[in-house]
Amino acid sequence: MTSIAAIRSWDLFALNDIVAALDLGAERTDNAVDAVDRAVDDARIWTGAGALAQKRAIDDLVCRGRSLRNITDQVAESLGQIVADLVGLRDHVIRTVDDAVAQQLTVADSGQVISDTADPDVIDFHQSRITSAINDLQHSDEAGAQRLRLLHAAIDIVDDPDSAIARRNDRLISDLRTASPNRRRSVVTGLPPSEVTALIARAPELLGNLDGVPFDVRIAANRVAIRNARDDELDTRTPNLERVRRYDDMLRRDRTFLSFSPEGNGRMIELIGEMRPGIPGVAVLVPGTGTNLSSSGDVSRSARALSDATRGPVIVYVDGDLPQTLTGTALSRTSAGGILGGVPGAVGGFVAGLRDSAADPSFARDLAPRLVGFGRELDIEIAGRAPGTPTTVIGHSYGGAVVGSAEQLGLRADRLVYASSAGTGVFGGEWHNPAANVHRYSMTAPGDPIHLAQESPIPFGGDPDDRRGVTRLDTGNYSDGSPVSGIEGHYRYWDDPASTAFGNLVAVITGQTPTLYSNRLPDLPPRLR
Amino acid sequence: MQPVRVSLAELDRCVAELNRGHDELRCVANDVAATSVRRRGGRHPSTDAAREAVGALAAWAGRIASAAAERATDLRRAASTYRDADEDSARGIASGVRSW
Repeated sequence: MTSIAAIRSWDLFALNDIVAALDLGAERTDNAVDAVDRAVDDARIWTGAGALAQKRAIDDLVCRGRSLRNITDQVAESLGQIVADLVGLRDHVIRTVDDAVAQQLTVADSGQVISDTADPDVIDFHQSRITSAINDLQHSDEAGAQRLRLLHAAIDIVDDPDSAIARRNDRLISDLRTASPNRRRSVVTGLPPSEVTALIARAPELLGNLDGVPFDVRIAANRVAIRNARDDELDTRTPNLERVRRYDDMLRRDRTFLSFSPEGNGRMIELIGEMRPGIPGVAVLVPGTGTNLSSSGDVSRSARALSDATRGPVIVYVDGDLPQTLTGTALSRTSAGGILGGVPGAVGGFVAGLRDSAADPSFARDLAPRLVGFGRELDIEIAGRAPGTPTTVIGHSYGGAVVGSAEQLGLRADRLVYASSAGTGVFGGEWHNPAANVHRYSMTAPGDPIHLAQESPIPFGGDPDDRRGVTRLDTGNYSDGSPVSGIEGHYRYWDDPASTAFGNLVAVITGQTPTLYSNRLPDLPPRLR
Repeated sequence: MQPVRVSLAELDRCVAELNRGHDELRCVANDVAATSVRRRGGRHPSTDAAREAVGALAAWAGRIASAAAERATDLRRAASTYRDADEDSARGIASGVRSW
């Protein structure tokens, strides 16, 4: 066992100096490589065989430089986490020793508690605390060292582009793009961890977004990709600081992403909570109009509350574009005025002028097949990590139309909730969910203008509340006792974990009995019908 | 056979950027290596592994810097060859004109 004196002498803050140097090094590497890359890209008036050979050599240099930056960032981040963990655990060791000494006990440098006069129970109590604290510290220290050794092994692979492993990795990156998800899974899970880490350093944006790549690899790759996107944003002439803040928030240690892309409105799949044996269920939440990378914070907060309440993982699925406007005006999720004015217009005026708005079914058409593929990936992960755990897919608002469309294409899920849903699917026809015993629920508050969209089978498939085989649930009341209804009834229950509607989502995910629909108020005032 | 077109000014700019990239990467290698050798306090697995990983990063950055320097040298050589050929051609034409 490490001696107390040795533990006290660890200069953990010196490791922070290394973290700072690595952060700076990664940034300067990034700038240097960008400058070189730009120079060659911009050199348009330079053609011929010599130019081609030079450009290839410089492309290779740029690629190696980017890998260096990626691994440098990974080492810096890992080391920063290791230092934070070790500082806390070492303080705990020192506290336990000080506590024992304060009780007139002697603590030897080996950690052994000695006293001729003290009560043996008191000695045992302090001995147990000190031993356990030292063990935790040593365990964390060794685990941290292991992570760093893994990164070191990856450095050795990527650093030598002529090595057999590096050449094979290059081929793999190219093959993985076109391979089937099953093939990808079998290839990636067959590689030693150091080679997977090297692959992530070479192509984080690719590995983070491929179906078939195991979730833990996607998570590690997307952390690198998010950090790169943040640095790229900061490197622009007029950085979008709101977006930079969003990336910083996404890089919080407790956040994990199964897909990420900053292109367009931005794409992401966030996994909140942990997939482990004993969880009551896994939920996937597909949000609605107005959700994008920048605005996904609201959805993530609600999903976190759902995860806390269910004690299980919740996945926020925004792996593609959702409409950003109801009728051509940008909105936020809490834009009540937009929703009031938007849905009737969207339903009544489904014309070309509403393309890209919430009346446009193309977003659901594009997202649905990807959601089907992701459902398959999720099933494989659950089978490995939490076998037998049921999945619940929840589609809110426009997200309901996405979920319904995915079910029409064969999405497998044990339970589905069409929450304030725009409809049942844009493809027409039946749902083809292959799950053995599917439970479908819907939930739409009285007075929610989405009822207007639900009334028409075009373009979103019609009203889930009336669909055969769907159990309509009660939206009930908010925690303050007021009814979930009207325009706010479309979304506000997501921010109120004590509301009936939120409780029903929790009940479905965890396999409890939800509250069934009760006809308290008409769905729509008569004048709007 | 690709047509040969070249802008010497663009090539010069590429050389300058590559040199700048080389200098930056060399600084990164030196700074990181310097941090890793400042050894204080007792040893334990994490610090040992960190120092080894950082040493490998520094060496790698150094190698990439050298590669950048090599590319810059190649480009400078290419630019010089194009320039010499251009000047030879100009001299040839001028001497032809003189012999009229």
